[in-house]
Amino acid sequence: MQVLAERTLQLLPDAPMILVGVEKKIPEQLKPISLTSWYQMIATNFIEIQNLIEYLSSSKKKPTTQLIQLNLKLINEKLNFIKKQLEKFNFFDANKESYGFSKNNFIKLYDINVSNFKNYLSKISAWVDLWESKEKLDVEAHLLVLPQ
Amino acid sequence: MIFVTLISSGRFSLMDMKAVDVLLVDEAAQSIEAATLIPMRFKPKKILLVGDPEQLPGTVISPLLNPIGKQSQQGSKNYDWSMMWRLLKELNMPHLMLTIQYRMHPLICQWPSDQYYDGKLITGPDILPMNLLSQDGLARRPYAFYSVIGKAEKRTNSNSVFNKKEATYVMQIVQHLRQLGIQDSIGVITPYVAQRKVIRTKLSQKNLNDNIEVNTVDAYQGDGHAIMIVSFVRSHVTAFLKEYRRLNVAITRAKNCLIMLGNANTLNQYDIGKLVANARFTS
Repeated sequence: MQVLAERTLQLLPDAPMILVGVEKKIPEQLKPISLTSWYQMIATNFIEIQNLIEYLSSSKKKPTTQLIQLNLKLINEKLNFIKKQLEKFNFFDANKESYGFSKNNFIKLYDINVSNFKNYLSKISAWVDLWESKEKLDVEAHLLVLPQ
Repeated sequence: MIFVTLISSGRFSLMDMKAVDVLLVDEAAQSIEAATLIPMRFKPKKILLVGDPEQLPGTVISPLLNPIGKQSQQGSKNYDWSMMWRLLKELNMPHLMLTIQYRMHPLICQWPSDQYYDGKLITGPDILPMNLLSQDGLARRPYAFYSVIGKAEKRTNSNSVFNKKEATYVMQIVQHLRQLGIQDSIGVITPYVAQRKVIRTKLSQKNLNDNIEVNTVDAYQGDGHAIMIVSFVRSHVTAFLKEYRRLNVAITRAKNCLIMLGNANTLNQYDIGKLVANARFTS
């Protein structure tokens, strides 16, 4: 399976493709298309957004308008990156609310301003939890916790 | 495109995946039917099964489900059947045979082609200019059988057998080839794990580990080397070797040169015997 994925990646480097497997067995050159790495990449971007908002909302000193704008710009860039990833790797059913891919849900993430930092933070945190949990959602992980 | 093994396609993390247009199952003849059913959860519009039903079937370890070689006599549940086998062999469904092979020298390809593929295998144009190893001695012919009258032994607490004499010959052949200056990759293939261990030890003792792979037939499927040495181990045809698909895998791994070792006097039944006779004729 790794041979097939590697050859296809060489042949079609820009085509959307995902490799599903045990992460530690996936060679370095195939990590960019690993599903787990992809989940981690999305989760990392959400965490970075989370950190930016936390910084803005918890800062004792009121942030300057310039700093807020800079951070909002960064947040938008990260959201756009995530959006592009979701659009490119459009393998999952966006209508399944349980999976968090709903477009309406995602659009709400753009609705950020100075007055709703705290609400926004809880929303982002939920997404971070959701994405971080995905890599654990596999058969093996469930089998490990089942009673003998 | 999603690359996933049959078993991993059952992961919970893929539960919300969209329906797929095409499901392509590679090595489909080597997976049991139950495993092939798992990715059907992706509701494919079209399914392509790609594989070779004349090579090894799926691995079934449980002797209750698949006592090797006894399934036909005892009417077992055919648990080792692949979906491909059922469709092609049992139900005679129409299929497309890919007839071009890209590994073996045409002379090595000829016997398995006639025996297992109705003579339909054609050698790919990239392979056609391939030279045989034309050194004097062992590697002079496309394939050869060397009769070794050895003794198959078992270690305590193990069912796997080994044949020291054959292993020594394997080592000597490798040594000879290297002394001739042949540096091509060499593969040694044997049906038994115990024999694999003995051969590896003997090669190691002579520092002959470079560019050599020693493995069992089951581990070799899909792989190959310039020179292949097959060590049959047994001096009689066992149920294990009666499985023609295993023999087919063993003899179709070589690119330039195939050397087989076994007891020619007693390997005169079944496909192995026919191959031995053919090797003598070719010599």
